[in-house]
Amino acid sequence: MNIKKMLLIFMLLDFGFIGLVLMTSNSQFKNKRSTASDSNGATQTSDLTEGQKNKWALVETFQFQMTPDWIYFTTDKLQTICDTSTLIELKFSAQNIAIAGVQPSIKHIYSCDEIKKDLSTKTLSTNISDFKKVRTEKVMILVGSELRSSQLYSDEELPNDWRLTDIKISGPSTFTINEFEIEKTLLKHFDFEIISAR
Amino acid sequence: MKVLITFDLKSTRILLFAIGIGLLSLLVSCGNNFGLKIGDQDVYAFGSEEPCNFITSNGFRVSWKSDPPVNIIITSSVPSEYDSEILKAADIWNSVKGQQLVHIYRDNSFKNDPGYDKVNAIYWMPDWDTDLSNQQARTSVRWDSSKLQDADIRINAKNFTFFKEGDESTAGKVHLQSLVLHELGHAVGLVHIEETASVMQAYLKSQTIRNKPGAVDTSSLSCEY
Ligand SMILES: [Zn+2]
Repeated sequence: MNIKKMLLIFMLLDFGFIGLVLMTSNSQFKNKRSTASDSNGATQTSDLTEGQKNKWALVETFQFQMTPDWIYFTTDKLQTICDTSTLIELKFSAQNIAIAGVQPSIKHIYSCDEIKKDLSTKTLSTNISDFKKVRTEKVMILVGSELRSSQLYSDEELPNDWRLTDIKISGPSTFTINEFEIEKTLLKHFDFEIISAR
Repeated sequence: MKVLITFDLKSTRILLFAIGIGLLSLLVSCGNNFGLKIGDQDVYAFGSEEPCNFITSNGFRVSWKSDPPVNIIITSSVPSEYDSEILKAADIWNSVKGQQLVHIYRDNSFKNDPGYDKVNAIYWMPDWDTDLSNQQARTSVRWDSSKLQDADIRINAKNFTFFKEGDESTAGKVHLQSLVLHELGHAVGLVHIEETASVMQAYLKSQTIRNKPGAVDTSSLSCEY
């Protein structure tokens, strides 16, 4: 067999492989897009951009869990996020109540420096007693993170119904994931209930 | 069978080119794993309704829907000399849409504290959070599936004094009618807006009369009422 013919076959196989890779990634993309349309009455018809596709893949890794004492937000990509960012802010918003037109909220802001101290860290946790306390404290500085409340008043009960509504990544790389994106990708909300100790 | 393998310069170039293309395609297919390439603009889902300067919940505007007129009680805590100012504020909103949006009346027998009791009320507060001494008043609203169920207006009588139409001394005082007009805006579901020609601007300077809803306030209301 002629060596040139062999190389030609190798090249053809090579291009075949490229074609296969492109087709696979494209079909995954299409699947995601159709899911996106289904969950919101076909409102989204345009293609997802590369960045949106990456964000979708990131949101797919999100997990939310609550125990009697803790709220846990987990993602396998936590370290990857911190490779290009400095802060991760989880915003919890009270549901079904607004004061001066704004829903009360509690932000838990985590430093990536702290997260990167242990490369196996993939969970961000919030202590529920701290969550309740920040209503009156307004700001609480914790180890490697801080809690801040907004529109929570000492003469109003702590609302019972809450939702993780925004995940804000800031630093060199900055973007926010909103509650609608979480719902569209995971077909659920990260809702939880806080039983007020009053 | 004897295969003769002789690499001349041309064959080597073709081989290197092919390997290069192969590596490149491998890189493209794994591209997503090399850092997160997401920007601020990469939003792929929004709320479903135009907010129209209303509170939104689950993507829907929060309002009293078809309930108006919304009944609001003036509690016994409010000095009765201010009743006429509060009623005028209600009339201003009612005239905006030419329909009765709010109906305010005094009920001295109503004794509930502010809270989720599905009774809308105005309270005169002798105590106020020391951290928020610059807050003139505040309105809390509660809803169920985007339909309002309760609105309570607290007026900060600890840190502020108020004036009404005809008062001679206004220095350092807040125009109660303008303040209540703003709070009633919250009570029907409106949020703060920055536009100067709006009664829903966050801050009301002392001695300032701001009792004329702007075009933006009228158009906001039109989205829901
Ligand atoms: Zn306000």
